[in-house]
Amino acid sequence: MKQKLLTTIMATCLTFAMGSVQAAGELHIYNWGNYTNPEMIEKFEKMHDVKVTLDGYDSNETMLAKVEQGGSGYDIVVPGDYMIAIMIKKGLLEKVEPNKMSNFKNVDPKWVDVYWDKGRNYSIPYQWGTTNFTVDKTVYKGDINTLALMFDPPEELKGRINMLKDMNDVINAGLRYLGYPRCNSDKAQLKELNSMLVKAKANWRTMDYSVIEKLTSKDVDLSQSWNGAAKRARKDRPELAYAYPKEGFTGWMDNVAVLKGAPNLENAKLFMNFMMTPEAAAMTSNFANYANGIIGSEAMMNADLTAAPEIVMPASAPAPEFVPPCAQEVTDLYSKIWTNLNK
Amino acid sequence: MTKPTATSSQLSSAVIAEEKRLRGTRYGLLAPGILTIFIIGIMPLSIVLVYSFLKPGDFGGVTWELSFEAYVQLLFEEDIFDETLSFTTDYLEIFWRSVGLGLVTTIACLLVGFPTAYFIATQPPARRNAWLFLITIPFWTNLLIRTYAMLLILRDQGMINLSLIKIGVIDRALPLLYTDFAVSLGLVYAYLPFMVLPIFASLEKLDFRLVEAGYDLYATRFRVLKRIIIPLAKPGIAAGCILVLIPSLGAYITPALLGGGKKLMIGNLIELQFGQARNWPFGSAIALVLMVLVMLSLLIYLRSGGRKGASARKSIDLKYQPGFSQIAWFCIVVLYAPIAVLVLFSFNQNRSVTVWTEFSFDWYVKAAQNEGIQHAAWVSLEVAFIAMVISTILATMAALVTTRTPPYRGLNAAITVINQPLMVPEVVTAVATLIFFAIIKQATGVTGIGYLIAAHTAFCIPFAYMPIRARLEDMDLSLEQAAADLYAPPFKVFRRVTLPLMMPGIMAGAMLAFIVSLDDVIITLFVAGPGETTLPLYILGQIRRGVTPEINAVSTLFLGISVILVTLIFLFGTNKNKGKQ
Repeated sequence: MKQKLLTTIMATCLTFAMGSVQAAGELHIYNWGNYTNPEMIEKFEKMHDVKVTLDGYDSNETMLAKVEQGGSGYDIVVPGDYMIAIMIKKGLLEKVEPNKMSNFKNVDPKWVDVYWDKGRNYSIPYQWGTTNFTVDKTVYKGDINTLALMFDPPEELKGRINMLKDMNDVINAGLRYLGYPRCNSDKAQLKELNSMLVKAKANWRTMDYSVIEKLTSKDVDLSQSWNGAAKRARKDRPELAYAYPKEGFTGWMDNVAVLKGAPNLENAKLFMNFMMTPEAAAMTSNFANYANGIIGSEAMMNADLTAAPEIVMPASAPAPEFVPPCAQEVTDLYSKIWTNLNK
Repeated sequence: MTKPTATSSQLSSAVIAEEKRLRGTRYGLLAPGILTIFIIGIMPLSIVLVYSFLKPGDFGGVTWELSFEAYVQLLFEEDIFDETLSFTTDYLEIFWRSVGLGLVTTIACLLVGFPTAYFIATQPPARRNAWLFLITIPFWTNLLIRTYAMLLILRDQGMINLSLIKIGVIDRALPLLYTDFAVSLGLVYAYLPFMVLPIFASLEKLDFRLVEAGYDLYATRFRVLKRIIIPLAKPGIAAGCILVLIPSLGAYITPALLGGGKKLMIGNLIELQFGQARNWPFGSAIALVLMVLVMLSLLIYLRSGGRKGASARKSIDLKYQPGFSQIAWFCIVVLYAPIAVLVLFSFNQNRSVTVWTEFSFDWYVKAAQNEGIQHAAWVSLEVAFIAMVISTILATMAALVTTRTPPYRGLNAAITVINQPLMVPEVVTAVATLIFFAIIKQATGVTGIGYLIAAHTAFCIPFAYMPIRARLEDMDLSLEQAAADLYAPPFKVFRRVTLPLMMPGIMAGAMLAFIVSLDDVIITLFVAGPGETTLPLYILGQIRRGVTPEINAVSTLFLGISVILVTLIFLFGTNKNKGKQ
């Protein structure tokens, strides 16, 4: 009896171990969690008779660590702008030349010559947005378009602030507030930044990624936030307004790219071309709540999205800044400041 | 006395043969568990050891250059301003906070867990299992989800504050959430069964004649508890403390959610190095220092040694300890409160998991249509079940030859190896295993879910091993010897005597292994291949973008299934017992 049980278990294990044999007509996508519209995937599966598996990651760094070791088995990844730059430098992406694909004409020209992939030889736009903050207008009635609300908050916002638990987002916002450049290795300026952040932190309640939940539960009245999250939080808390601070802010773009050594290279290329159709881009935006950079997709996007003040930037706002990856010595200094801030 | 020489020489050769056989069995039973952990745990760890002596690479990874900088950095830092090297307390402070929080958690778990385990152990056998399952069921729900449910209870507009305001005890919300209190509460909640199950396994065989003897000698209830019961339960208590203290040292998801993320824990600090700080050598160095500290505490545990026990005799009066049953009930209420909240919110019409609007089945319909979430749930169950079965078998084999035995060469080493997966923070195991598996995958070309199952099995082994070992330490060898004297062959002795006696320990171990596998986030995140997203990974992906009540619906279904399963096992178990009688 026990023998039999053991044999069964062994057999089951073996079956599982050999379960994922590579077959024609597969595609393995590795994207941020809860960021891919299942209907869009279904459409692609039907169009090209491909079986798609979809897995999620929680940060660019996790994805990099996993992919860099090789043998991950994934075909498609969706890294942020700076991560595309790093991955190209490390030779992790396949040069699939989307700029020669049939649907490339749909890509908004302003997203072609970008710092992370000049001329688009490796990647195409997926979603893009900004990182600012959103604040309850009934709690704070003054002008919201200044970083001072996070770093030197008025009395009514003290202890009611959530910051993203993201080293780069917090430090970059701090540098802008002080008027210093990004990727900064000037020690005098960093020292000033350090003491400014330590002082500001006393007024923060939390440092967490779960922006929507922090705001809708009324645990905080201001949160550093991505624009799509701010829009979704506003749905449950209409008093929220998304700020475009005069000191400037970060823009970011996630991009579809193909991994070097992708097991299903041809299907990956098909998927890339498919993602440049206005239909697919609109489906993604409707699901993820961000803009996409594909011309002609607006017509198919939900009206609340194309009209949202979080997505459509006012003319008066400064241009978003896309921050390239900083050198290791700068990162070392940043992580010291970050550790000191969080100790 | 007349012919001593002949007999003694015969005897000694028999003893030698027996010794040889014993040694064979010993190492034979130890080998599978040790080998699994050696391959999946220790070989990857050597990668971490090497990395800690290298320089960080550009944008993550390492550069192959010898350097001690990672260790220097732990205690000294270059001043940002004048580049002088000075003593820094930043990392020590983080270490100290984590250790302090870990200790508070362990003590609180012990204070609540011991009376609970005692109460359960003194119930009639039929009810005992029901209680055990009652303790375990909440843990079928993912830790992330349960932690979210705690947010709902503790926050400013949460249940406690709203009801206190309503009955007029307070007029402004108490700041319960985002405090050290909330973090300890969350950790106690997360690790309580790790304390209850081993202590239960140890107490279950308590000989109440000893308690009776104590009372006969005019001892008070407290004195009996202190002088008789607690010393007898020591192996279980030690095992429980280790199972709570070590994981809570490395924990970082619970502190981040409930503490508001304003203070780093060791776990966060290490994760930062492998993530945005891109300093893998430093992350490896911190992990190794933590591991050495933990190993030291394990050595202290090993010194505490084994205890004896015998078969139980029931006498309700003797077993009573004031307040213990109340604590057990309190424990159940605390365990189930967040679960109740999540069940409630699975019927909430609103999209947000934080505000109640109206009753609906929407989220069940959505979950039924969501292939991703269903697939993830199945993968989770598959992996957890297989990992539980294999790790429990391996742990049982290993426990048989590492307890109730005179010390032999390699015994302590074997125990340390078995527990190795416990001693390393998860992030580090995750990265190390990732690198190691990638090498194997590229060399052999074999892919599939086998890797994920192997990784889960490895870290489940110590969780299964601890309660089984605690149980065995309380069993004496006399029954087995009696069976052997009656010419029962060794396997029959094992099946008919040893196995039934150690069953409560095996059950406790298997349950822990199952829970631990079902809850794992970090290792799975790094090891899972295409199509192997588990439920915790699915939820992790949602945290950043907003958790939907679909998860609550799925968790509620999970709970339902577990309750049905447990009831079936329970009914089946009692019927079988009746048949035997």
